[in-house]
Amino acid sequence: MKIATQNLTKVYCRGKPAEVEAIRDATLGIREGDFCLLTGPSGSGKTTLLSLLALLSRPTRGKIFYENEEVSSYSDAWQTKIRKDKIGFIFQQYNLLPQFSAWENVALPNLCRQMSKAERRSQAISIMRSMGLGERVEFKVARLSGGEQQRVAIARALVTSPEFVFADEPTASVDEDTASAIITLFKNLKKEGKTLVVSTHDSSLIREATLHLKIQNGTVSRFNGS
Amino acid sequence: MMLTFGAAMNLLLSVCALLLTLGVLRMAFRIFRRWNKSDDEERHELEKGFYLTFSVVMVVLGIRLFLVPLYFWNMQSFVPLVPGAMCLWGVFNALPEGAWPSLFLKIVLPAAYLSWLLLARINSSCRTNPLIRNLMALFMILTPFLLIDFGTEIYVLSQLSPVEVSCCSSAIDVGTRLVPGAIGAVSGQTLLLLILFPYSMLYVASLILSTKNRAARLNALAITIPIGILLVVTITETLTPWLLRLPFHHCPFCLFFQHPLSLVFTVLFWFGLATPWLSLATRQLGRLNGEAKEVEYRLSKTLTTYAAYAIIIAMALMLVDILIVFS
Repeated sequence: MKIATQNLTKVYCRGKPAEVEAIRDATLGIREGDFCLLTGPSGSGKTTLLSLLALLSRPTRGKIFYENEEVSSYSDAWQTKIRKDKIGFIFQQYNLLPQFSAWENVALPNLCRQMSKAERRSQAISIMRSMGLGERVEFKVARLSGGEQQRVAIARALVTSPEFVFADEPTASVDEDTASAIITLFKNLKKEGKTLVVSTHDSSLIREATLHLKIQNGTVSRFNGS
Repeated sequence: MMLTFGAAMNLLLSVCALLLTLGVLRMAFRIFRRWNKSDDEERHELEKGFYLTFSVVMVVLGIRLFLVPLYFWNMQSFVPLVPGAMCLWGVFNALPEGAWPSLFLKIVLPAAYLSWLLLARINSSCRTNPLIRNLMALFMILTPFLLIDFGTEIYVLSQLSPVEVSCCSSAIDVGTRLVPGAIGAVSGQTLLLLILFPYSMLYVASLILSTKNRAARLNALAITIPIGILLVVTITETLTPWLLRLPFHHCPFCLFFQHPLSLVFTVLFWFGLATPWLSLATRQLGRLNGEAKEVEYRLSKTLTTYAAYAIIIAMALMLVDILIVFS
């Protein structure tokens, strides 16, 4: 298994009146090259599961394995190294830095690599061109439309050629054309053999999935309905 | 109080580092107490606290190590201000109850600080922070020594006054010498060097072999003590009179001040001799196993190589110093 979990549990506000068990005893496995889809109603725990799998937050209990290595017990510094080397994450709210230009946002993950500014720039521009953003390279991100911002965020996640791509509702806040372009992009990533984990409400992505997980009130189950 | 710029800087750094030490002590205790009992999520919180504590301790120990040469430089700068003092010996005797213990601490404690820093290096090279608890426990054990170290330093720098003292030769150069004038046809002073050099080479050989062989490691450890004693005796009995060209003067402080190269080779010798003890302390205090043990092995190998080089360079510098003086 490329990614696996064992009894993964995440509880927010533990010991307080507002305590929420966002993920409950999730045990799952994602193989290399899988296109894993997470679906479920709002508030069911999709984003929490994604951020746990992408090592952005720590589980309350349970284990996460990458290539049979238990990475959930790794120190912060080592998890950061894994995120840097292996993971691309596309956030629902883009999380772009408005004071920087589009290419500077895309080149951000390469800042902590041994690369010159010229190399970072050319790599960023190259991936932006492949995503139809060639004309927007120097634009400040605040001047871009929502769809363009989402594509910049996707370019940022892919600029390091990560092994694992996590996307949190990537088509939720974009128009139909952009959504279809993003879906095409994911199909291409799937063909390239990347391991994709995507949370979505978009039914058009379901056909592409090799693994469909459904989350209901924090309980993760394999969906066999399609 | 003799307040010079250097002394003021020393005092300021000491007080700041002292406050930093006291500031993180509580957090270090909390991490130590909770680490083994905590679940994954609490561990993450404790780990964040550890990174802060770790950074502060690194700064404190960095300051502590930086203050060692600064302290001696300051004390040396007081020589003209203390009537009767010709070197550090005289300055130390202007406040003997503080200065001599402080000198002892400055020779011994840097090894303990380096040991902590080595363990921290091993910990950060491992994937799961296996030594967090040990590091926090060791920091708490080190804290009283740190406080004593800072305390004596602050006491010496704030209380030192220009009282009249006796010069070093009135204490060091009197009485019978440790080494006889001649043994057979060879002078006692030459004989010391003739023993020190091959013995040091034997030590270097043991160091090199110690990375593969446990017996050689124990041998290297055992040799450090006689070589350390031999080095001190050689410096006072042979090198000082030879290099200063004062046949009856044996004060090492005069030597270090007038022949800075001698200070360099002494420090290199100190590092070379301290390394096997540092490795032993790291292994024992860390109670290493698994990945940490492998990292320690690699680090220890590198350090041992540096130690061997340090001894060889120290011997070469010693020889160069002697040749320069006699040429």
